[in-house]
Amino acid sequence: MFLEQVVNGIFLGSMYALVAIAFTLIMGIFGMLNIAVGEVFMLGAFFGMSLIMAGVPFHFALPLAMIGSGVVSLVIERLSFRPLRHAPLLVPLLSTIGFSILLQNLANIVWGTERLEFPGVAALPDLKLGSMVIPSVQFLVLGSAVALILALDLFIQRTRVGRGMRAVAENLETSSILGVEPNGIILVTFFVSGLLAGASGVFFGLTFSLIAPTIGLEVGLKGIAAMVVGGLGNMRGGIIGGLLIGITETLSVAYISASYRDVFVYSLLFLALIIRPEGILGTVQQEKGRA
Amino acid sequence: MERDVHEPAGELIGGSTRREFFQQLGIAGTGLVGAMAVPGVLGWGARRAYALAGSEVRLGVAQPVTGVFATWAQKHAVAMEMLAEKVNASGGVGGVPVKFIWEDTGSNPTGAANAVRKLASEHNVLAIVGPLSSSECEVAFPVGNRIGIVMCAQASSKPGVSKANRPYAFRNTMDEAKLAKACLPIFAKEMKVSKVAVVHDAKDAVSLSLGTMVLPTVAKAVGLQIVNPDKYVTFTTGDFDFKAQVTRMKQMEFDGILFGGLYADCVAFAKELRRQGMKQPITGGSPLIHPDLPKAEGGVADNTYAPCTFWSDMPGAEVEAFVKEFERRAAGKATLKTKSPDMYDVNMYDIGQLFIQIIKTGGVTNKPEDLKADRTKIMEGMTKTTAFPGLAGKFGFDKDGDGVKPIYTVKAQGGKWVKAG
Repeated sequence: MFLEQVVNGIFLGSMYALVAIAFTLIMGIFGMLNIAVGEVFMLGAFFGMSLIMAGVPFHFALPLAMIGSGVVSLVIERLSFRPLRHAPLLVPLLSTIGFSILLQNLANIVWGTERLEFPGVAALPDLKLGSMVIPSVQFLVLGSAVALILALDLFIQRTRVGRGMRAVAENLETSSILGVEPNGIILVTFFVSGLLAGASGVFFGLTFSLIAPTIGLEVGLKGIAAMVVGGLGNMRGGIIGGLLIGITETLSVAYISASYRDVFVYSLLFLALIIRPEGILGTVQQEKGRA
Repeated sequence: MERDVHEPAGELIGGSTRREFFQQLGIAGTGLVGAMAVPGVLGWGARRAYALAGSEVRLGVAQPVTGVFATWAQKHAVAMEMLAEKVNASGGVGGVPVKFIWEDTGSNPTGAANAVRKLASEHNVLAIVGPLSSSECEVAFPVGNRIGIVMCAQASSKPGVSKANRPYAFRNTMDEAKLAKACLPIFAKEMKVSKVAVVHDAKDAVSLSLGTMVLPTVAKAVGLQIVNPDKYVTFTTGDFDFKAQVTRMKQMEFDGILFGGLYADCVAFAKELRRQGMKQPITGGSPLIHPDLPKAEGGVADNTYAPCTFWSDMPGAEVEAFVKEFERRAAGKATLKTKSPDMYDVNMYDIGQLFIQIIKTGGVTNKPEDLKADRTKIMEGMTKTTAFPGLAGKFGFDKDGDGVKPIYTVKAQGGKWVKAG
């Protein structure tokens, strides 16, 4: 049973990893936390559900839901970050908390507060390994998550825009002097973060078949914990952090009690902060200059 | 938030006027008047109706307009609109129109306490329908009890909540222990169950009570063996991932499941259970009663048994008329996924009907200077109620303030609840 529970934890953790990377992108570039990423994730799930229910095939619904989430992320940048770029770090953080509440309430109004069934997209057979039953959709989700993460890595390392993102992450003012257009880079970063969060939302719906406006808060907080545990601003760290959080959560529910689940998950977070504040793959850096 | 649910009589409803509709629905009214004419049935029933003072009869509704239970309140609002229209179309309460004033509990206990305080002290209502959940009632009931205003909850069913707040706290619900005593023997007999595993929500008040006390105690009393007595399987309200729980349950040998939780959690749990190839039937408390549970995709919740005092496919002309009109109104509300009324919508409707009848016949004057005395009279009327003709059958209250009414056991089958036993 232990191995089966670990596999359960890996699948759950892959979801957290994607959200952690959506947080990491913005954190890595601006050193700022966009709390509303959780709600962008939630909206991705609802966009996906609405599109599929409207008859849009899944292979179109997924990218459309991702683009919808990307656009929401751009709106957050425009209203919550850009006007506050020169304000103390705490101000945009508080602003995104407000935006997060706003988005959840909008979802409550549009889709109601009850859990809704996410439509199944294909009748794929479950994989049976002894007593272990793994739904094929989870492999689809895990495979897609890995593909997205690899694509993002290539994008950041190999493309001109990606190099621009890294330059802005180093120093916004200096990158501007060197010819990088920071506003464009920032917009791309937010859009890509929204794409990832939106994809993760659709995968969540596919995996659990049920979604609700409250999923953003819960998964978002776990995503932040995964980012901190794995290493602030480090994408690979986000993946490791997500998997660790997923496995910890699953094992605590299986062997202790669901009521202690968050105790263990957030204890892991505090442990990381005490023993290795920079996270598993993080590096100690000087505070970045801000324009 | 204040919501006025007055609507003029005489508008068309599906080809007939509202007045005509309520005349059709008014089999209830006829039954009500008939019951009132029989001394002793309601205690206060034989008294005649008085003309009331004032321009409106103000009743409070403390419900979760926002927060996780907001959709519940949106459905309840449909029932309360129907009641207000019915009463006002037939001349109001003692010649005065009724007005339901809503205050938002925010789906949390502190908000519920504030809503009760505001309704009683600022809006000066005569009595309050609500709050909704046991968690809310545990905090709000003491507030209303100190003020001296009747509060009657439509969904709270954790044992002992109204008993701890006498004499002003009431619940138009049955204690879960009484419900379980009716349901479990039928479940065990029909599904040939002898060994059960206990699964429960470790967060929600009524679910925790069901899973840790009510269901195991009643199960043992009816001869069922619990296979995980030392370590119940747990989850928390709103969980989506039940893989860890079901994987653990695969190691146990049992032929039935005792589920202490809400219907939405039961659906999520049943999905994972069936996906992992487990076919055991489920039973639980009244929180499982929801029109959507039997409609869960793939029939995953089929053969789930639950106790109730109303279900939307319940036979009877009066119930059918109510359900039809409710569904017609709910169809126009886009955020309401579930269009059929559930037990709690009907409980609310019946609480409103009872308040109005007590105000009509219990000596309430509706004068501002008599507010305290009027509230006391309503409390006395509630205490004496033993057989009020509600929509789903006659009901009253026991000495603890809990509802006493007919109990039915139903099971999920073919997309709807059907009577079992």
